[in-house]
Amino acid sequence: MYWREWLQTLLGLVVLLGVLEMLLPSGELAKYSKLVLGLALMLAFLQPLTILLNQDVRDLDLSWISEEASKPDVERLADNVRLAAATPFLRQDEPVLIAQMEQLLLSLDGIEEVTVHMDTQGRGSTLVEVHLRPFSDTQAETVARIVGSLLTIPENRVSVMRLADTRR
Amino acid sequence: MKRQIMIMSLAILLAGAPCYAQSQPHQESIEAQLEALDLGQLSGFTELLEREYQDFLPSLNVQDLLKGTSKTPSPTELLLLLLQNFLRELYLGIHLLRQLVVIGILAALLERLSRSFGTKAVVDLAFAVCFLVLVILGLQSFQVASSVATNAINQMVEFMYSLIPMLSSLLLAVGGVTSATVFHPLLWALVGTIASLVQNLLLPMILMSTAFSLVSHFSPDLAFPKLGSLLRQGVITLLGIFFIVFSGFMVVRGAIAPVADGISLRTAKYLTKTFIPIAGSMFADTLEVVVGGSLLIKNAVGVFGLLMIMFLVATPLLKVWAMIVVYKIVGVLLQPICDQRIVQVLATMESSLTLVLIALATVALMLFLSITILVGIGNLAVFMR
Repeated sequence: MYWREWLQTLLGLVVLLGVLEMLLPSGELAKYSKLVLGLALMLAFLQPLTILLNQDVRDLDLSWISEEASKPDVERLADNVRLAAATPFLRQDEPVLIAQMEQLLLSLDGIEEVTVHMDTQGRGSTLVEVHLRPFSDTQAETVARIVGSLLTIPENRVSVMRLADTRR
Repeated sequence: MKRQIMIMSLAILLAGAPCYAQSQPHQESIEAQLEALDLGQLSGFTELLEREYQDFLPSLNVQDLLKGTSKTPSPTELLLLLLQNFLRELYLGIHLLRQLVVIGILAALLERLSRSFGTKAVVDLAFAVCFLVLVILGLQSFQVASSVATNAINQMVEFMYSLIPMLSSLLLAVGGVTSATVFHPLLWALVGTIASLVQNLLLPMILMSTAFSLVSHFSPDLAFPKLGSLLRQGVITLLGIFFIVFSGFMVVRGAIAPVADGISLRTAKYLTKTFIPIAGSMFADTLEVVVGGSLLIKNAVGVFGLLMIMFLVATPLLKVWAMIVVYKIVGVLLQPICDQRIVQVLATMESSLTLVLIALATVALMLFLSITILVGIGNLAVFMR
């Protein structure tokens, strides 16, 4: 806040010199006295220049230009909202949706058997569980994306697993 | 087109018939979303407003959202309220007006005395003292105005910092992925930067220009009258540049991003529909309903935010405006009896306060604009599919 001190000095000086000029006798020397006062004022005005020239410009603190608050995690909030929006609808049509989802996933290339479970009551981390056979990582990723986008729920709430052999 | 009609008819159905079978999960869904969003921190900001303004804000609970008929404030009522507040501020300004007029009359009296007696130097000094008191009063009321403006900007920015994440996440939820990823960081940075630039750069500049102009009336030979007008010019130019950059960013981004969103959403739907015709369309319809609920909330939150910004800035604006009017009135009153320098001081104060008013209004307008665009983009993205 250097500018504040500078402003105060300058304003005080202007007022002081004004009063001084008023008090000085108006004789032959009046115009010279005015010149001297003006020079003093000029010097005071240029004072910050010396600081600017002496300082390394790179040291200037410009952090006040963008005092950003920490950015909140919008993605997670959006996921929560999307989940909250979709869950009541999933709960209502659970059996129909499960059947149709299984049918849809079976039509994908290379999937022989599929079962879908939904957990719409609990507040667990997974909402939809998909068991696949045969299982591959790329396939699992595709399935998770399709299920997520169709049910309008975040992908990380869909877990895709290998269909256990015993259940076959 | 078909989709638009469907969404609209859905909205009408939901608005008209709360007992409709579909509305049960719909209401649940909206309730759950409101809970996830935690709107409590937004409602907390209403405490900052005065009592009368709070009645004009739309409520954010489920029933009012679903009915869509939260009481709309009548414009005449609002105008009357604003007028009443303005008059109240003016009444509070009477104190300042009295002080200024008394000093003005005193100065005029001293001047007449100096003409009738001869001792010029002494009377000159007395006049200078009166003048300085006037200048100090002016600077004080400027400090009051600038602290009012700073407070208002801080409040608005704080409010924006809790509103933007909500609007952005709702934008993400309705499918505006590109817009949200573009707008959220941009807005976040712009709001903070503009507010701190106005507080740390523009308001000090206005203060300096006021001080230099005021003092230069005191001793015309030994001062910097040009510097005052230069700073004033600089303030106006900077404000213009801020506004142009801000609105340019928003408008250009706002024109491009929703189209990209609409296309990506449309592609996703096309894929599901071609995969399995029947099931695909059923899923697509569910998606429509779910998104409709989120859209409803997003628009309600947006309108709430717009009104909040408006009311947050209304009181400070009226306060500063009342000060300007007081200076105008004093200037008119003192013109016939006073020295022209005193009238000029009053005119300078008036124009400096006007600059503060303009800076505050510009910030509010920018925030207003950004909320409008953020709300509009979501609607555009949904209708584009």
